[in-house]
Amino acid sequence: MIRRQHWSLPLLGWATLGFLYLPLLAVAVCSVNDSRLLGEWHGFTWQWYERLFVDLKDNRVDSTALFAATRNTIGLAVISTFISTILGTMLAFGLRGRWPKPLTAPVMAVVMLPVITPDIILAAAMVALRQVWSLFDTGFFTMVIGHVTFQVSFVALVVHARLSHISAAQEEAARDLYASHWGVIMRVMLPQVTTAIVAGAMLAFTLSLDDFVISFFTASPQSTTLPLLIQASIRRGISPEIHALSTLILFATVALVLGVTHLTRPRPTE
Amino acid sequence: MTKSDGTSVSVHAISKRFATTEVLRQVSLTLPRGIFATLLGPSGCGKTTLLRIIAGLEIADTGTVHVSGQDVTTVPAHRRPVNTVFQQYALFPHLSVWENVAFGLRSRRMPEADITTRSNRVMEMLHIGELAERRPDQLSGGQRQRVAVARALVNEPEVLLLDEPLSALDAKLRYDVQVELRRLQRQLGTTFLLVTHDQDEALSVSDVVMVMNHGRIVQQGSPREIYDYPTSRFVADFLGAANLIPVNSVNGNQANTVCGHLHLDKTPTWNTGTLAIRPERILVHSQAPSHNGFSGIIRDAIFRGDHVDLHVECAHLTLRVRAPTTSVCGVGNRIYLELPTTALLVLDD
Amino acid sequence: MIDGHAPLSRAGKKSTSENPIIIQAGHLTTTRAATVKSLLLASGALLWLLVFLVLPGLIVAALAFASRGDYGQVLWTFGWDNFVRLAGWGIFGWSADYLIIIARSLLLAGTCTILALLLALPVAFFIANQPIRWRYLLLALVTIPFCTNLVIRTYGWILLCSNQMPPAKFAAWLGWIDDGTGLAPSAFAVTIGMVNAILPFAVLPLYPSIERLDWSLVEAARDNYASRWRTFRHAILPQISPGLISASILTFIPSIGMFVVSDLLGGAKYMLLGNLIQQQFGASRDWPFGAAICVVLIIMTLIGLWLMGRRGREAL
Repeated sequence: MIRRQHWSLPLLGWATLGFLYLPLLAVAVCSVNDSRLLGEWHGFTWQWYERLFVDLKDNRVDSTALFAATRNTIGLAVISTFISTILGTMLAFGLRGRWPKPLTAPVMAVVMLPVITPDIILAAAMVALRQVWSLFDTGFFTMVIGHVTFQVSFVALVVHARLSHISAAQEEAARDLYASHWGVIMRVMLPQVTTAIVAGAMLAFTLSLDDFVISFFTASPQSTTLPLLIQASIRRGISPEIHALSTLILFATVALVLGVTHLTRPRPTE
Repeated sequence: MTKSDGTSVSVHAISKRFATTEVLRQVSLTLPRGIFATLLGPSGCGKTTLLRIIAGLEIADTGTVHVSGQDVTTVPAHRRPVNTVFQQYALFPHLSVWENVAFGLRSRRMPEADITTRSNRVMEMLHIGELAERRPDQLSGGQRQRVAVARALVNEPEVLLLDEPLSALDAKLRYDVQVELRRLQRQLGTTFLLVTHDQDEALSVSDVVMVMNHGRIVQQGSPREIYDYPTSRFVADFLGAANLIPVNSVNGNQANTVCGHLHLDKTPTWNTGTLAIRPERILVHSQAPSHNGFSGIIRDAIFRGDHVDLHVECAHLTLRVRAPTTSVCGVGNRIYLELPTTALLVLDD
Repeated sequence: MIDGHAPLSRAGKKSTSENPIIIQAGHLTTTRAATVKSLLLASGALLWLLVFLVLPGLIVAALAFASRGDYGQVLWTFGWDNFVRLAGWGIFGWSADYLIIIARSLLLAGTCTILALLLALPVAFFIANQPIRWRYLLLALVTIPFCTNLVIRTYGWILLCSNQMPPAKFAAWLGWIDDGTGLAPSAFAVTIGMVNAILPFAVLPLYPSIERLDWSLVEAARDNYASRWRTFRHAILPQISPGLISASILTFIPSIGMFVVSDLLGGAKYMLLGNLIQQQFGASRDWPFGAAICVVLIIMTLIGLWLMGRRGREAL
């Protein structure tokens, strides 16, 4: 229902949305400014983007390192998303079943844990694990483990939310029509939650791309990711190449978010 | 398979409790093959639970379930030769009508050619052949209901269970579907077990009505028997309207009530109890009748088109009378009612 | 029609009819089978979380009571030394440094949560008032910054706060800061950066409860001559309080553990719990002390959740 609204509401709304976009806009605008100095507009240029791909003498970002970091970031996101989507989807299906009463609360607590724990603690936990088990030394493998650990619950929650819209009667109808337990899952439930699984996977993917803290504590010099690279560069000082790189990542994120929104938008159902 | 005894379903001494409530108490029933049976009762009487126990969706605490002679008490739903039409139909929204209908046959890994023939035949029978490619959300309520029935019947079950299948339809459609279900059942000869709280529905479709209350079957019989000869206040009141007349004492075949003496055609087993009479069996006279007559004052008269509902006050009792529109029925008038001996029902409780 | 109907039921045992106790067993086996299948499905992820989250969490808790060796190695002694040190008692006597960091983290997280909620409310109302197809577009607009890398967003604030950019020049012209200095590093910059970072965490959980709002209550309140504030207090607030509670939980938790924003916008002196943990696990190589801070952080988070009350936990 649409309500008559006070004039200040849209004003405040748009102003706050503007505030959300202000830093992103600043980065994007600076990335096409033909000057290493901030605060002055020297005309439009693509040169900072070009420099990301070609090594020049005065480059502030090493394009070989950039390539390696991009490869690590995407590799990490793809592998961790793959694992967490499978585990998370199975978890969501498992959570739908009948559980013994005393198990329900602890299981839900474990599932919610990665959602409500500050990520610095997740990171510290990975460091502590390394202390007692050298298998989890810094590096790509440990990063994948760390990422899956915080992704899996988000995937499970997204899929579980969609599963809860499927009535128990449908499950019973399928049982009544001779479908086995797996038959119910494969033929009735799974086809109805595919978009939620894809959305959960895309969420996991963005979470992985976004992550700084856990990667910071688990990465080795060889497995550095784009956020780590950017942070390291920022600590050395700001530079237009970083503007350009950040803007590129930004647009990749926009594409992902629009994809997820498209898949999860409510549609007319039964 | 032991089909020789001609029994489709036999349920013996089923009890079920949920937490602290006893939903079913030692219920037993037997359905001969090819019958249209109805479990009738108010909500919460345990009828749906009983249906679900027969379907295998719920497991009884004690008791046994046999379907066509085989003990299926511990057999899960997907291995019982029983199919269900669910209350809200529970069609699979991601599958077309045809795929919904073929679902059960697919589960049983039937050859694709057989699936096609059987599905098409059932869909023709239910007049939903043209809807094959539609999705459930593109169907009307009546069409969904047909799909749900087709989806269950295509499996040629020993018993078809129907869980309030008409409650989601509007009144006009409901009548057509009742007729249709009855026709289908006769044509196929499959045993139907319908659960409903609607007494009209129960009376118009069934061969046998089983009235349930508080987890027990309180009376069973043909619709006529149940309606004409209820044995308890609950059944008399639940099926159609009934005037309940308390009896203070019995003297041979004569019962003493607050409004006067009534002659009965048999001696009740109790001394104080209840008599019942249907509103349409009470006769209206302008003079005192010779036999079993009460006099009373019309307190209300509601015109119903083909008849008038009178509320007649006799002593401390208000009787509902279904009178022809031609009778004198001014509010405040004194009239005489005759309660024929044959119409008076002696209840057990 | 029922020609050669295959017997579907073979599992039924004949003996069950006499003995109700065996039926009890049958009951148990079928529900137990379903439970076992559910457990199996969930077991992969649950095991993963147990091994890589619960177990390491316990190790962190254990580490908090250990001590640091001379070369940064962990000595598995048991003592409360790390907590005593966090409370201020060090080799050189008592100092409030660590307690100030804890207080600052709490204060900042509280301020940012309140500011984010205040900004989120009008946005959520604004979005809920739009026609349906616009709502999802606007929600996507809120989600995009939420999904954008925090390092990049913070970087945007570094640019905006730079001394070469208009905001700093304007502030200098007003005399708030010295000429030629930037707005960052400062507590102000950290607050803005953090509110900006957590704002979507406030809008997204608030929105559904506002969209479902029953406006007839508002009309009833207006009808009874309630003022704007009383209308909000009695007709709107009770309806959106679950959303408000989950929004405040979801903003408070990331802000209490935040360290990227303060690291980049706060400068070396502006330490929060997150930075302190990072320092102990990183440069200082004092893992037991870092673990002790983690334990304190977790306890504070739990107290926060507990304060939000029962409804808060349900809202999550």
